[in-house]
Amino acid sequence: MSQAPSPAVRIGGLAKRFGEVKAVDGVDLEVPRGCIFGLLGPNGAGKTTTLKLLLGLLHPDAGTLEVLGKPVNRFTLPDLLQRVGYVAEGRDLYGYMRVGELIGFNARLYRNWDHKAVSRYLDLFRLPMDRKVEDLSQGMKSQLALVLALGHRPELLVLDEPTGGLDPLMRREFLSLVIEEVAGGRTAILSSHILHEVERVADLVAVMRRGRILAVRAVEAIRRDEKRVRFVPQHEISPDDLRLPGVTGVERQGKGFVLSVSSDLEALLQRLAAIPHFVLEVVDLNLEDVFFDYMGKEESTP
Amino acid sequence: MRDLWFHVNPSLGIPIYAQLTGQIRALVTSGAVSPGDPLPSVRELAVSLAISPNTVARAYLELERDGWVKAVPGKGTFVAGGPGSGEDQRSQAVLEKARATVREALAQGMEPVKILELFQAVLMQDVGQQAGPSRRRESP
Repeated sequence: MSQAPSPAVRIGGLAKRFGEVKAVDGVDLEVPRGCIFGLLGPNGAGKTTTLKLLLGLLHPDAGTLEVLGKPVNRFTLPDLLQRVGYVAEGRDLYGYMRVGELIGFNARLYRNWDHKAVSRYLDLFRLPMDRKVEDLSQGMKSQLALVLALGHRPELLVLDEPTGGLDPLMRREFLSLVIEEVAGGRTAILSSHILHEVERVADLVAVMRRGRILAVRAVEAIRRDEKRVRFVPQHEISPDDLRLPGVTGVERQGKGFVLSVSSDLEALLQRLAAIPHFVLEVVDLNLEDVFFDYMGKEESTP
Repeated sequence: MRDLWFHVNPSLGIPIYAQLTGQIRALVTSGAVSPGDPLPSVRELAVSLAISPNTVARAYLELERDGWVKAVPGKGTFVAGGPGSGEDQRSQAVLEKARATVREALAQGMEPVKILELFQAVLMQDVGQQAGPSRRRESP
């Protein structure tokens, strides 16, 4: 008998304020197991705070937090960290240690340290074992942080802006390790402002702003469903005539209209084709377009 | 099968899994790969394209459902014959391309009659070109 597996992460009504600032303001979120989950949002949206709450590194003012089927407050911090790997931009590593020493130090800290995998990662990244951590380039520090986060083969990887300082080739190598872990059934949460990186690799994305989640979407569904239609009718028509099923927005531009469409594209095109027109054309939207649409919508609400 | 056969464009308005299934179907129908040829593992293809393993798995699942590939537990995924005979496959592939072209033309607001005319024109031109040299050879 198999039960539906608990999600990797389940967050309900999460809130955290720092003084007057509501850093996290009522977040509900579920991250299924075995997926790559992108957390998007501008700086100050509350992404890092949410992730730190998730890891038990901060305590929430309100709300529930479950990681790998168990409430976070029922884990001891060391137990939680045995099962979760965390990479954060600018996270302090022990700068005075040499790379090899730091690896050895972590190997003794974790029960499930995988020496074989770690030496494979170190080979891939060509990290100099005898160099002091503080003398590494920013990119090498990011690579080392990932090796340390993966060494104990955690079930959940939490990557907070992890690819800072990486050139495109290093970024690809970095992602390849994350992809391998997910292919093995593990879960990765990737917070990033590099939208095209997330777009390529993520299964789901959440868009966060001002401490709230604005939307959670499957990236493949965005590709399939999110379109913009440019329509220039031959005769004057009212924008209200264009508010058809699937149309989420109508914007006038000169003599024409730009429709935002989220579903039912084929049916919409058939109806528009029946109206005499000069231009009827479909434009694909990518994650960046959709992201800025969400940002814009939020901006205009009072 | 080499991973180099595959490429994806994440910004395209087509799901990545659909880009992959399209490419694999095209490889099978064109004869570039043969039944029994191995496909890269989900892990290999996901890493080499830097996409989610779930996306590759979904593509393989759809292809298997439609008879294009066969998963052998513990061994991997292999090219299968595809739905129906070779002839059917080839016309199916052409049909899909034609359908895509027609949809694109309709989406740009082209009249159906105009689309038909264009198809006819292209056909006449190409058939004419093919017939040209052979006729000359026949009548020296």
